[in-house]
Amino acid sequence: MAKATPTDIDDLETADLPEMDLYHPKSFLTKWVFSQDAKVIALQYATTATLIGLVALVLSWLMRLQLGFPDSFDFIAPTDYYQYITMHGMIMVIYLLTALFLGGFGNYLIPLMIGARDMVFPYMNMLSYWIYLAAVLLLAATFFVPGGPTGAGWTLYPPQAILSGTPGREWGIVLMLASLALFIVGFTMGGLNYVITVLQARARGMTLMRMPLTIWGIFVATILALLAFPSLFVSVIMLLFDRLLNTSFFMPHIIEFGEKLQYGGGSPILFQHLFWFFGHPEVYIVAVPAFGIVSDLIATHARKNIFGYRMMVWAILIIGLLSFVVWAHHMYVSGMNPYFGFFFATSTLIIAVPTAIKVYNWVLTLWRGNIHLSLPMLFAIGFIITFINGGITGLFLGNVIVDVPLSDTMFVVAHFHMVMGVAPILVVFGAIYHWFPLITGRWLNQTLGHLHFWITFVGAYAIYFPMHYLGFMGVPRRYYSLGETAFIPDSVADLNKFITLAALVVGAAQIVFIFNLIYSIFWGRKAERNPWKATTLEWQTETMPPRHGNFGPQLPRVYRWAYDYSVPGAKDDFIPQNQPPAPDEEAAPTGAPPS
Amino acid sequence: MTPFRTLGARPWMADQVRRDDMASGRRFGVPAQAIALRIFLVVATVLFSLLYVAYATRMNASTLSPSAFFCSINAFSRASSDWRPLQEPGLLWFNTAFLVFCSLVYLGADHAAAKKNTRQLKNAMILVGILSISFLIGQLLVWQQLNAAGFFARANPSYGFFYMLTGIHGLHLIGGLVFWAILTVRLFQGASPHSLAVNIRLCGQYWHYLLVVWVAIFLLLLLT
Ligand code: HEM
Ligand SMILES: [Cu+2]
Repeated sequence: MAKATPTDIDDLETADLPEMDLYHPKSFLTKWVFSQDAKVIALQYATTATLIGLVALVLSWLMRLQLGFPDSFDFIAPTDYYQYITMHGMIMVIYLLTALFLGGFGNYLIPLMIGARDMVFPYMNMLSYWIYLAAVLLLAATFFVPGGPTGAGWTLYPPQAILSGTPGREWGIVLMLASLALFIVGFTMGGLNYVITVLQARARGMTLMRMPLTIWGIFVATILALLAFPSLFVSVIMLLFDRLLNTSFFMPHIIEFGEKLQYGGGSPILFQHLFWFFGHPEVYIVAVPAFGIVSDLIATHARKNIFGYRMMVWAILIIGLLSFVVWAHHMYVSGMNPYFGFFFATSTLIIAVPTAIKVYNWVLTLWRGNIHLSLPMLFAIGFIITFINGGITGLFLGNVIVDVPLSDTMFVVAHFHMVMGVAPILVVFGAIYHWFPLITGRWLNQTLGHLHFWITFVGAYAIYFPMHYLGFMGVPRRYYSLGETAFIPDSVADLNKFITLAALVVGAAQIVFIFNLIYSIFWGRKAERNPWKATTLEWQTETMPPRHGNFGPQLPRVYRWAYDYSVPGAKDDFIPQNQPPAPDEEAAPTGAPPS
Repeated sequence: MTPFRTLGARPWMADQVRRDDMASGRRFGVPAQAIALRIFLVVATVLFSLLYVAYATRMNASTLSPSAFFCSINAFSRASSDWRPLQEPGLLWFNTAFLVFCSLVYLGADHAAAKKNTRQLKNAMILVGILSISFLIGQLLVWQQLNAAGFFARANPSYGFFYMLTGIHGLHLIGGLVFWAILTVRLFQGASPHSLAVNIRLCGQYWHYLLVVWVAIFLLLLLT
């Protein structure tokens, strides 16, 4: 047994913290609209993100219709298609996933899981949501401006992003850039809040190393986002200058329709560096909260302590750190200095090590666990399988020599949809099935839930497995239609039809899910308190759903880590974090193996 | 506690449990807004550093050397063909002086707050406002001078960067002025200097930071 170390600086300070003065909503407007309660803000974030996400879902149907049945849909012109892919990608990555994990789950879970009454700066938290809403509205507005949304692709590469041949050149791109800048400003306000709340507002006894991994994931992802978004901000502002003021930061000499444009000398590759210096950390901004949440789902629903808690925390931190030194693996074919490829391939492959550690630990947590195949568990297992799949294709693409022929093919599309589309979305669903009783006091309909899981899970594979194969065949990405291409066999068209049908079915399953959500909020079966018998603080509130202020007159005190499941000798198979040690209990439970 | 020792703890071990039970749940013994400011300054530093890198890269970028990104060390000596150095208007020196004075006045404000000297504190805060707004107006005048002389952002990337860097720096100052305004209003509504001391000191730190950033930008412009 190692020598004990205190885990917080002021661990010996015994005086109670002064209670933070809580803001008290007085009217309907301040309670539900301009609310400063993190739980309400969380629901606002989640609703907004879901609504704009549905737009992205519909766009994906349209794209698939075009790919599966080219020439059949007159209303989809090539320019429309480009607009669909751009808006679909940008919405899904930034406005849905980032906002949902950090703004939605972050706001709801951070104060509750660490035993705080609210975020540290509630007013700033509210502002953060309203700025996010403005960003979303600005984005949505591009569908209605002359010329429509930009069709530059979600990566917005110059020079084409602002050339006249690209749809949305007049308004779309400008509003898109403005919307992104707003999003970043709003996020920074929220992000400061999440970080400081985790650092400074935990309940007594809740050391950093006693926090549930969900909080670790959200915490580290927020730090990543705070450090990565400035890079997007710089690229967005510079591109805006190029577009509006005709500077040539990124724009090289260009001749368009035989006419020399007034641009010249800029570096498009500089944009790519800036974009991906944000873009790669961004994929972990989405993945790391999912890592955290899935760890807690697995521990709770397998009634076991998480295997290797410390290793899990370290792995999250190391992944976060490494994610800043791999960005140029998106640029192997950009024409950058070829020697960089060596460095970035190496760092990219190294990041697989901590990632693999996490996967092993999840599997080892399940090993001989008392696995309940509840919906959250199903989604968690679905995540693990899918993430392994996507991670392995990532290893392929991380190698320059494999990536060069595969980049800009459907293989890349399959890779990133597996790893950052399907996998995190499965976690989002699992988390919703897990925490819905807490948030609403009711159950989601479980039959519809199983239907939703199986269609989504199997359907996702029906969509993306064949897509890898298409990529190998050389089917390019972002093409409106393949036309007469000698090297692409006719069978590709059949596969494309199949994928489209699968995509429509999976999309329909999401509508069932949305219906289930709305129905269950009002008419779902009533849930008892702490229905999953979880240890973490959010389930130990006086009322379910938790009231304004989260906890009763007394803030909880924490006596143990978040994973006291199936402790030998304990009465129940779980011990809540705020339960004082029983008189006869050895001060520490021995659920975990020493490591 | 060092981060490594924190992360090395085994929260499930008996002796660790005893210690953890006493932890207060706060990592730092300073007010939350102090931490917020530090973290924000880190974020802003990332932002300005990236602008620096972009500047250096664009300076020696040409369509022929796309790998310029990692050669930015040479940026200060090797300018590419289309880069024309900026002619810095003399007004910038005055504007710099405004910011320097701002920082000095903030030092005085801290002093006044510590001595609970309300009158002096009010004067200091008003002076900060005047100097900061003078700085912003001064920057706008520089923009106008350059524009009138035919050097708008598109004249050359160096001018484009000038407008962008000063613009982003100015927006940060305006953000600071929001907090300045809140504090000043509270002060004039009768809040005690003591109750505002911490926030005024933090405001001052933000201004010092913006001065450093401005000097860094100005040096970059002068040297290239
Ligand atoms: C072992 C881990 C991983 C490796 C080695 C890896 C490697 C790569 C490489 C080399 C590419 C560039 C392919 C190309 O454009 O030719 C790529 C693309 C991509 N990856 Fe990964 N990846 C990994 C994990 C992830 C994760 C965890 C996510 C998200 C959660 C992710 C999301 C993406 C996205 C969104 C793209 C495509 C971006 C675009 O071009 O639009 N990857 N990955
Ligand atoms: Cu990447």
